Amino acid sequence: MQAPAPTSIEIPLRGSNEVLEIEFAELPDLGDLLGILKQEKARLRIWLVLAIQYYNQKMPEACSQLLTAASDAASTEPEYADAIQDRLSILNALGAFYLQQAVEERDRETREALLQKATSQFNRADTLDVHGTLNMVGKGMLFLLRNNYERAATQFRYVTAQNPAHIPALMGQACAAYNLKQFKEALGLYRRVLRINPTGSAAIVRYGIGVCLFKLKDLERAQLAFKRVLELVPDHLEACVALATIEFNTGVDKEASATEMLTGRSAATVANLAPAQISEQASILQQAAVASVTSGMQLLQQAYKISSEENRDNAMLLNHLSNYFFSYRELDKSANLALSALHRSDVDEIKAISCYLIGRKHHAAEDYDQAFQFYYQANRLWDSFALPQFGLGQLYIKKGDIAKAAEYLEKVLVKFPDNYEASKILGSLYVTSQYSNKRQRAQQLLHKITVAQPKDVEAWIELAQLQEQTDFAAALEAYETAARLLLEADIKIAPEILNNIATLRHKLGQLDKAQDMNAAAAADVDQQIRDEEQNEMVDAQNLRSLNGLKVTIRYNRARLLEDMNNPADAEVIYRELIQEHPTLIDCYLRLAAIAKNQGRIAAAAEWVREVFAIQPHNPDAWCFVGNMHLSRYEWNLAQNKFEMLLKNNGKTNKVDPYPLIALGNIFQQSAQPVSVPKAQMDKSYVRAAEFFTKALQEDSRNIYAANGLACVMAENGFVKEAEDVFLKVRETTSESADVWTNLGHLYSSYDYTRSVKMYTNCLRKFHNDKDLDVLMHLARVHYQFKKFDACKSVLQQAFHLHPHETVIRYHLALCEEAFAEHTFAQETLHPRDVTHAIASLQVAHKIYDNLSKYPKSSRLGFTPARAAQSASRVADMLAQSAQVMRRAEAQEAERQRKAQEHEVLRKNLMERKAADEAVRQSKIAEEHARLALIAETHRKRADEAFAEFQANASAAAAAAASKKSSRGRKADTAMDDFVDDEEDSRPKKGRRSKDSGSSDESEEDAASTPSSSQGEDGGDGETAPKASKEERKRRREARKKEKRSRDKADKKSRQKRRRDDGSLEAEPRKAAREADSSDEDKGKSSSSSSRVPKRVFKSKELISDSDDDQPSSSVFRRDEDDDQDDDANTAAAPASTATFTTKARRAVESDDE
Amino acid sequence: MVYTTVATQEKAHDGAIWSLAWSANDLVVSGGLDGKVKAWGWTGSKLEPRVAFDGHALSVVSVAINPAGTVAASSSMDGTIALWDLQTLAPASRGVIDADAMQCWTVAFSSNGESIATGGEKGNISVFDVATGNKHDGFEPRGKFSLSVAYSPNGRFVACGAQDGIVHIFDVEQNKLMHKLEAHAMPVRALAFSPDSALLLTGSDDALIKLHDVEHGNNLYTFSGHASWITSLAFSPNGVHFSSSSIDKKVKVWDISTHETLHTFDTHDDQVWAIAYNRTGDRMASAANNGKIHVYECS
Repeated sequence: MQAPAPTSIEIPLRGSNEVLEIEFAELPDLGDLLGILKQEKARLRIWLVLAIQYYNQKMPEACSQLLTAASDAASTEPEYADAIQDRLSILNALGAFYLQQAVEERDRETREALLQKATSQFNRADTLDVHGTLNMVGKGMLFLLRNNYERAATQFRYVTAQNPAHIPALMGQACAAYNLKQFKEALGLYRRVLRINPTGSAAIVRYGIGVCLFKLKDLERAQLAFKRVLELVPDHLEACVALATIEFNTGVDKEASATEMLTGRSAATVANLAPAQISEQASILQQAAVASVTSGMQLLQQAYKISSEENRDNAMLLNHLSNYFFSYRELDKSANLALSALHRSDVDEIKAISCYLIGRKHHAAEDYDQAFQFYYQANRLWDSFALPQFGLGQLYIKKGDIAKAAEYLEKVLVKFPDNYEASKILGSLYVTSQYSNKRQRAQQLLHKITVAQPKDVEAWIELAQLQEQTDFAAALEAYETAARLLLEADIKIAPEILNNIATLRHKLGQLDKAQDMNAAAAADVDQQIRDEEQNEMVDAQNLRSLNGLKVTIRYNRARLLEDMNNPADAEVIYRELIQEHPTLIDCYLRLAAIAKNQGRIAAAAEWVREVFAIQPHNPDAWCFVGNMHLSRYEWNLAQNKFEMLLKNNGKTNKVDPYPLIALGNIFQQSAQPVSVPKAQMDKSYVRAAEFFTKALQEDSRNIYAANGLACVMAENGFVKEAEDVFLKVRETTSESADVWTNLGHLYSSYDYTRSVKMYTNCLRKFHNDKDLDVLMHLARVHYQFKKFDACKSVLQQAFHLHPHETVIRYHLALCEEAFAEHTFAQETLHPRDVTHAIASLQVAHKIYDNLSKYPKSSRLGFTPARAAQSASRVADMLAQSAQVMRRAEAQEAERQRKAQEHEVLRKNLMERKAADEAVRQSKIAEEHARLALIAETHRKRADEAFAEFQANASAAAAAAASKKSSRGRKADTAMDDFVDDEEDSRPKKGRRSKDSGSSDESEEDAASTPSSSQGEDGGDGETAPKASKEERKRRREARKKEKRSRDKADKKSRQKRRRDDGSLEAEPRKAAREADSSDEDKGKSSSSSSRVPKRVFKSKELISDSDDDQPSSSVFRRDEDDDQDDDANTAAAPASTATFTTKARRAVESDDE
Repeated sequence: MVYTTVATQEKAHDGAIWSLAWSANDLVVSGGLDGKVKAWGWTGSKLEPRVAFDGHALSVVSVAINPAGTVAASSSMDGTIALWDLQTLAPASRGVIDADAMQCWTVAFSSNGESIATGGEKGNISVFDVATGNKHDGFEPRGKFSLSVAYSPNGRFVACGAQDGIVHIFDVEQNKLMHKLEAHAMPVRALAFSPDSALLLTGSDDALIKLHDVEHGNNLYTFSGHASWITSLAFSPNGVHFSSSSIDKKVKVWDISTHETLHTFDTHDDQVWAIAYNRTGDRMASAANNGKIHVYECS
């Protein structure tokens, strides 16, 4: 500190050397003193000293009066005019006094008045010296008090720049920096103060250091600083509270890490520790936590004691105390303390804490409105304070405003992403959300919880509930984890969970295990019901819910029995359930579905009527009826039902896409028949598209709607686009049979192999190889590509499966006839093929004849009159067949003759070859002999013999050369002679190249009609080499012509491949329609309603796929061919436009719970 | 009981097999999509091909063997019934009977082996003399297409199952309808009388098998367990068990009195269309849509 403080001051008396000594210990009455000072014109410094004395002796009033008087005197008395520094001191002191008063003043208005007064003092000081250090510091303080930290900092910085050791300015600057959250800078400034003056006002400086360290999260050193403050000033309340806060926080942290260790959350730290060590360390931590909290409590008590003397106006302390009492359930005390804290603080954050504490009390006291208001205020005061947000979340849940609750809980999670409680509550809220993104969020939250706390049973169960809708396997795993945890903890597994596990196993097809679980759940519930009934005080509500659960479990058992192919037992359970609970709609619907599955249509209708008696607008029942109509091709009735359903739907907010799709299908199908006029057709397609689009708006992932829309697209020429959609649908789900069928249709116009593959896969995957429609589509594509054997095979399979379906027989006859026609039209005929063809014609005739005797009916799939026509046509063909046979036999004879000739030729060749070989051998022998002779001669007569040999050799060479030169080729060995001989029998080179061109063509032919290639190849192979040039040419022409006619037949369908030429599509279709109508005119039947073209495959109209896995789902499709070639003399297959089938399903039976 | 697969004949036919019969002297006769009728000798460990008859223009729907094991009959989609001499392994002297289109589907021999019955599309039963091929008096049309026909072993009754699920039982002697059973609501493709002729099993596309009392015509029990159409039913010769086949690819063996499923053969990988017991009942054969025949031990 400064030099030893004087204990008195002397006032010089004017006009003498005497002084008046005033002892500080015995300050006189202010009035007397003022009189003396004024009279003696005492120096202003004396006034100031005395004023400070008054202030120090807790007489602020006297101080201020003295200073005011001094200030007045200074400005009026000429004696003081030059004492600028003293006048400044007086003004600044007065300003500082008012500032001090303002700091202590709670009343806002008074405080403002004081600040005004202070301001005017500093302003007056400014007029005396604008650069005065003191007034700058004073103004800085003023800014601090007005929370204008930026400007305060500027003022202080100005002063400290001039005087780096100016302690008040440094303190002010530190304070401003702290409030500007520049904690490091503030810490530095406080430390500078401490270095400059280690002892002066050390407590304040060290407190400043403490809070800065606290903010910088250096809790240990902050704690040291606060302790030092308390050493210096034992009753320093703030330091005491701060220390308590640190202890509490430490306690909480340690407790948390102990929990982490025990729950295995901090895997990293636990990894290399034995369980015993873990629990040991955790208990050490817990003990430390308890110790911290205890010492925090002690500090709080200490603070409480200190504060009682100061009227307890430290809001932080009050909040702490409030919290303390809350934890001891002294709610009123807690609330009162928080309330007084609220009144005593003007820091928003502290007020927010107080509000939160009050709110929490109300919350605990179940006064939710009050609690809400205080939480709300707390949140408003401090929007990043998580606790009231959490409270608001809880309260909004109470109010049932889930959206708001979620909003606040999300806010909590923004600050504390790993917060367990908030995650869990939010997860629970989102579990039942109707929005998939919320459910995803829930899944994310819950998944995080299960990772962090793998033993949280509740979280596992909620996760399971969430995944029940999307991922059965994952849900099952979650439930089983929960069950295992419960088992480990020796807690009985609730029958609800057993039931859910059973249901999931059922859905995953693990039927036996599902049955076991279901039985366990049932046994459990029965036991619980017995226990409850034996209780003296029966809990009626619990009993009710147990009985409800029992019903669910029994219903699920019945569903399971159905899927285990035991409908009889299932039916027994459904009937029992209805007996007990006559309003169980699902049971009636299941009974209806079982009856429908077994073909008992009337019984099914009866059960549905029962449903209507209970719930006239039950949508599932309406759907069921609609689908029944659809399956019987009663379009109008079905349409009525679905429109009704849609109308009823409109009353609720949620629109069910099912009736939309069903109606889309109906309109799409009503557009298909050839007889529909173009305008009406377009209208129907537009309506169908509207319905599908609307369904997609309701449920953007609805594959049935997508499939339907793609059908409409395909029908209207957007083939490529449709294909894209179909492929995408197939990618999305492996469960839609229709999409396979539709792809089959798409490819049927140009890609035989793929089309067959699509239909075959569809049959195998979805229909157990027995769906008539798909079989007929498959037969048609075989037929189109002239695979008559395959077509016959498919049709006979279909016939065997559905013997009463006359349409199959009709097509079988068509196929037999076409096969015979095709055979007869071949250039090369074989008697055995003709025999087959005649047998086919006989079968065809027998079938046509039989079919022609049927009474006319739309169900037949053909008209008996037409069958009669066909029968007589086939009879004609049979009559001609003898002629064909003769031709075939003649050809065969010719072939045999040629074969014989060929054989003779071959024999001759062989003979010649043998002769040539003999000649060659003898030549070689001759040559050898001659050479040997020459050698002999040479040995004897070397000189002459050499010349003679040369002459002989050149003669031999010349002879050989002359023999081969006629062919223009050089040949040296006899082997070449053999090759040459061969070549002689071949066509000449020039012809060969031409030939290869034509063979390419025939290869192309073969590719487009592979079925014909087998029969042709053999004949061609044999006859081709012998054929004359003219004949070849003629045949080539004929083949080209044939190909052209075939191509023509396929042309329309091929045009579909042109992707961006959508407009072309309308043309062929229209042409086809015209062709069809002209065909109708030609035919005897002038009725335009006849939908059966003469030679066209038309799928049958009735479906009996009773064995569908989803019994109440509807399959409605109809087939139509709109492009045909009715020329009886060509064997070209009728190219038919693929039709598209759509299907809507309803999970009447899939909602198990 | 032991249930094992003891032999498998791959590609017994070119395509689906739809019917099987096992003669008293261990010849197994099969017929199907390829239109051929094949006879196989059962050696005790495998099926040996004996002969392949080719006499139908379309697929063979059903085959049957007379009780003596000397004659086989086959019916085809082409509307013909062919007779085969199993002793000479040649077409029978009587040859092919033309039953007219849709006037034959499945065939059954009478207990004395003198006549064969087949169902027609109007619900009628036609009866032909085996020796002459002549048509006897049949049974009057009674509704929908008769898909299945069976004679009772004592020769007193003939039953037929129709497209619409109705089963008719006639008294052969008096040529009179005894019972009209509304057994099912979907096609009845399989029928089997018990060896004592007192019981009749009916199997339908509704996946159910029903047991009826022949004398009174009442339903005794409903067996469920197959997932789809019942294609064939066969009583074991001792009358204690029976077997069923289905397009759900399974063959099941049942106990007639306890109603239990004794065994499920799950070895076929395609629709199973036919089953037949041997004379002693310790072997059973089944045939599937992919041309495979399995022989099981069931003793």
